[in-house]
Amino acid sequence: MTAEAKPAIQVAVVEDHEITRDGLVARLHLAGYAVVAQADAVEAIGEAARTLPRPPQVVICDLNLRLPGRTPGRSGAEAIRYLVDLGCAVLATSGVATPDEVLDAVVAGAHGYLEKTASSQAFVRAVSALAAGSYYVTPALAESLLKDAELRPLQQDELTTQARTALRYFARGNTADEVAAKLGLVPGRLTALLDRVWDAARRRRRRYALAPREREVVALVAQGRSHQEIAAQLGISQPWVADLLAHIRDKYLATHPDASPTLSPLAAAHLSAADLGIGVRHAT
Amino acid sequence: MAAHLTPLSSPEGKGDPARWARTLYTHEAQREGRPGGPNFKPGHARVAAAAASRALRRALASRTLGVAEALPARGRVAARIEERMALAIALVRGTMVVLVFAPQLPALLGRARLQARPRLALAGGLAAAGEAAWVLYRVRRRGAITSDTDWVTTDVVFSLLLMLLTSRSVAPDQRNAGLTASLSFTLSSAGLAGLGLGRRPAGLAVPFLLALGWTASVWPDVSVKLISDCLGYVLWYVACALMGRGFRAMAALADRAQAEAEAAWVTAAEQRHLAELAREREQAFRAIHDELLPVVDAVAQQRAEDPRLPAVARRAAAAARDLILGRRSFAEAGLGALLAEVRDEYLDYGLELSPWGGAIEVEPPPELARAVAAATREALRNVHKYAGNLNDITLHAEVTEDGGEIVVRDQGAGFDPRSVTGRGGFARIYPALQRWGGGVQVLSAPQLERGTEVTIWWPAQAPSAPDETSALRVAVPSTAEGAAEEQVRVWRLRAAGLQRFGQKLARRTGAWVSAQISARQGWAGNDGRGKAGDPGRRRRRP
Repeated sequence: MTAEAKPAIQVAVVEDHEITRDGLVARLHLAGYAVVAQADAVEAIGEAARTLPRPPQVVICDLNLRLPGRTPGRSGAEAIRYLVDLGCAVLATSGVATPDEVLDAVVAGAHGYLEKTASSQAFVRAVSALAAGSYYVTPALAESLLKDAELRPLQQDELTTQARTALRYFARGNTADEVAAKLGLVPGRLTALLDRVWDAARRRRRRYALAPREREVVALVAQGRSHQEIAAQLGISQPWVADLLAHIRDKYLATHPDASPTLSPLAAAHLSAADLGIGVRHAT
Repeated sequence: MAAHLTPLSSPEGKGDPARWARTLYTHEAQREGRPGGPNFKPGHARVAAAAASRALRRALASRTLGVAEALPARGRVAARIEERMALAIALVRGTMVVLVFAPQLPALLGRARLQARPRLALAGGLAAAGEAAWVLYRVRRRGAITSDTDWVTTDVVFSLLLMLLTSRSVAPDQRNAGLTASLSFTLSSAGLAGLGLGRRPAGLAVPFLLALGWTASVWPDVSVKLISDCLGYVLWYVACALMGRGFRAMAALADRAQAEAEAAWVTAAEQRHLAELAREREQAFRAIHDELLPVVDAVAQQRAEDPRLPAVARRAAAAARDLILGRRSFAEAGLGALLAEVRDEYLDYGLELSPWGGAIEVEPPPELARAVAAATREALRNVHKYAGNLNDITLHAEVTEDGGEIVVRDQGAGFDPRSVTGRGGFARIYPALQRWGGGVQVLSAPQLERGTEVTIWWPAQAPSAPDETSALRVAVPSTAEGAAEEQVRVWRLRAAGLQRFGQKLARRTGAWVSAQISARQGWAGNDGRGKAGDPGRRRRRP
């Protein structure tokens, strides 16, 4: 794997910490990639893509682009979606992200996730995999996907045993080629398998994640607001609030099989708030 | 619970115990002091219902219980009951309209009519129909009777008018028979008043007013039936008033219970939430204060040349990651804690080790856990010594009921599998794993693209070794879970016994059948395997 032998894959880097960005760019240069754009916001890549003959093949994008004191732009899943819409393959990266944040990025269209502490070799492998139109599955990502599948079952087109086995191999630190070999698949078929895994993750989110409105209701419940106050604040009717609470309860029960089936919608909203890390209200 | 509450007394959660005390106090006060407590009597139902709903709403509005205005002005059950009762009485009333038209029937059938003035009678019937429809409409719209006494009064007045009107349409000597048809309609008016007015003085006057009106209407065609008619008004009134009161009291109780249950749920949810927050705060405090800050301070003071710094920094970063990813290696005991310890040790040696992944669903016996941790340590030691690439090392643990696997994977040079079974460190560890039926598998090139994969595995373990401790456990299943486990074990044994019996039976039957077949086909020579009854049978055949 020498720099000359590699076709010059065009890479862009979005990272708001200058130190980290410079380090990453230097490592990519060293690995023989053409870093065509680097920025602290995805919008800048959009700008740059207009002047380039074609959009960068792979963008390495930090998941947290909200450094204090900077004009707030897109961040997290939103940023990933923006880059995917530009036609780039996106490798999400972060200092450390919770499994939920990583899955959000995956659902937004990222084809891989790497922690910033990963080695240069790992970044190089990830970028070549993505440039080839495939995925880069780290053990942590495989594990997140498996846990997600366990916690949020789908009613149809659930992961096949083969897909689960593949993820289990990835979780043990096997490379894509090794996983393909162990399953007796050609690499192209493995990519197709991962396509289905990604699609399932997307459908899981759609089915179980709280909708923006439901999230707002959860946040207000956690602040101790009443039905009336929530309805007034969101500008909707009270029965609607009750409906939203019922949905929140359904979703909570679906993802928490241990919870009591007689759980009240309000209590479910409180528990959801705890799960989402939305602050508890203060004692009066 | 107690364990959950302890973090609340930490400095961060200072205000919380007082808050919980207040919550509990309010809860108690509500339970004992005001309605629904031990002093609660059904006789005070209405007062109790109102007071309960007031007290609850006040308590809830003060946010001590958190349900706030989740309850409508009236409890949900109470509102529904009120609606149903109102609807029922309105429907009864609507049905009675048919009877008002009954006196018209003889005329339609060509018999002698009862009424002297049929048009007046028809007008009365139509008015009754209109009024019943209006009552139904009003009930549907308002959904309650108690809060809407005007229409009860209107209805009673209408009933009185109807009596007089019908009375005028019938010849004086026919009134007893001619008016009976409208009796049911006016009786339901008394019921309505009982439901709507209850024990109010105005309400008590209604049956007497109706009885008086009835007597006047029937006059002068009076018979003994008048007594039972008048009694009817009183009874309908009393029955409906009692029924209404009973239902309302029950509804109020149901509402109260529901509100309390909901409040308890919310309290529990909040409590869990607070305990969780306190725990997280404590963890964050430890990760930041004990681990991260010293490192950052050292760097800030340009003491970065300190040779211990990289190791400390690595540990700090791992601790922070654990915190963010929600791994609870701090509190955990058992295999998880042992693995975390091993991992930390090798972080110090400079291994770029991701936080250990996988899941430990079943805790292996302590001795096995120690053997596994030792094997893991050995695997990491080998990575450190031979791999030549300290980056991207994965430690994966998967322990389920079916056994366990720890996978150590590196992306380095790969090492000679023979060193594992040879004189290496694994030689000492093997016997410990083998005792549990486990072992170590090492994969390297050419099976792998690069690096080495060491799998430490062990099969499912019996709940405990078959020694006297387990005998003791079998004898005295201490918990429900123990009893269930024991039951499962007994079933398994029975199933195994049954299976053995089945196999034996199948073997025997198979042998017998084959013997029969061979005998019939006249094969003298059998395979000669011992079959008890066969020789005799064979002898009987030529």
